Amino acid sequence: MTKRSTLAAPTDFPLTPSPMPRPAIHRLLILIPVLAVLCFLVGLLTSEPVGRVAPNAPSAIAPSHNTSHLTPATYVTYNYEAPGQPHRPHDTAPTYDYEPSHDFSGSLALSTADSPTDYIPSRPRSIRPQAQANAPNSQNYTYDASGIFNAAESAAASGVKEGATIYRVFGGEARGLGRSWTTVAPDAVADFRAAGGLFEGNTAEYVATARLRSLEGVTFRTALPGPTTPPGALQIPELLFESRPVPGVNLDLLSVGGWPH
Amino acid sequence: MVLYLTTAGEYKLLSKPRACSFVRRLRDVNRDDYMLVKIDPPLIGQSFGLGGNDVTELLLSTRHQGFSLFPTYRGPMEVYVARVVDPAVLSAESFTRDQVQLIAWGTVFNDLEKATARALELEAELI
Repeated sequence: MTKRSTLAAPTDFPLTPSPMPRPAIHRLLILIPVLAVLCFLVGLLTSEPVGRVAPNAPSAIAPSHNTSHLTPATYVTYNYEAPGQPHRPHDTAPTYDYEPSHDFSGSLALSTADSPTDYIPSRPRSIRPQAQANAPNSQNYTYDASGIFNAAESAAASGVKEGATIYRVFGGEARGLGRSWTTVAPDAVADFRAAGGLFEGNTAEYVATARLRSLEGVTFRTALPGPTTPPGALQIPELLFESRPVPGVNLDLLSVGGWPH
Repeated sequence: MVLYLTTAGEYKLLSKPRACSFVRRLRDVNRDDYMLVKIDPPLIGQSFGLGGNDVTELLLSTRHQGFSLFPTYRGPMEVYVARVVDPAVLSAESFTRDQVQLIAWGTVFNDLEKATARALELEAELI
């Protein structure tokens, strides 16, 4: 019995040479564009960038954090050193030594402003802890003539300058031109009564704003919590005049208004 | 130890110097250097709604960092002046902010003459 194939098509084909053999030159023509693409990719990886970053371009020195959300009072400018050589992708990353050109300290910086026209915050709710930590040299303790430990220091040594804007919250028993002032805008503190340790006779109905005219007889001190201060309350710095300040001599009154607004 | 307290320039009722005699050291959640003192002459209690009962004890504490009423007097110091609202404080070692009332800022001296001179100086400025 003869085996029969079950396939529909014949399984044997004649092996005959192609009537149009492909020449070698044609194969090379196919390889050329492939090689060209490879060369282009290799070139991209090894060559310098087309648009080189200028050494002083802001993008090359911008701090890693986003500063666009900062208020003018807290924004700082940076000093930096431009590198001697242009930036290359595979060079060691250049290091920039930059530091704040001003010792701004958040809202506290308002107090040491040289001009009353400097930025005043709209109504921030509270002073950030960083601002408190940067209060002008509040931790620079000194010793008085008798060698007694003394945290009070002259306003000049504290960094407070003539022309600084100072504030006093008063009303009731507390008079407008008292000895105690602060460099912190009352609006910048969430609970100014606690932060300032105001006594109950001080109704805190008004706020006087003045420009410090003279540092003579003025000491700078940081407040301690009082017996009615809530735990953890911010304590603000204080400028204490030796005697009642005289407008035109010790300070220039800028405004007296109702408070809180 | 006797200190002399005046609140001249800030609070009229205690402008005239008061002798302050140490009674007890107290603390609260913030600090441990409050000085409970007995004052002479007493503070009239009417302004605090106490009727005929005068205020005879006050609670003093320094107002600025680096200053303390303990362990010893170190020259004139700016102080918080509080009165005791809850009598339990008079025999306690600690208190809460609800048991006292901050009534003034003042200055303490260890010398009556210095306290009086300072009080007169500050009051004269107000005239």
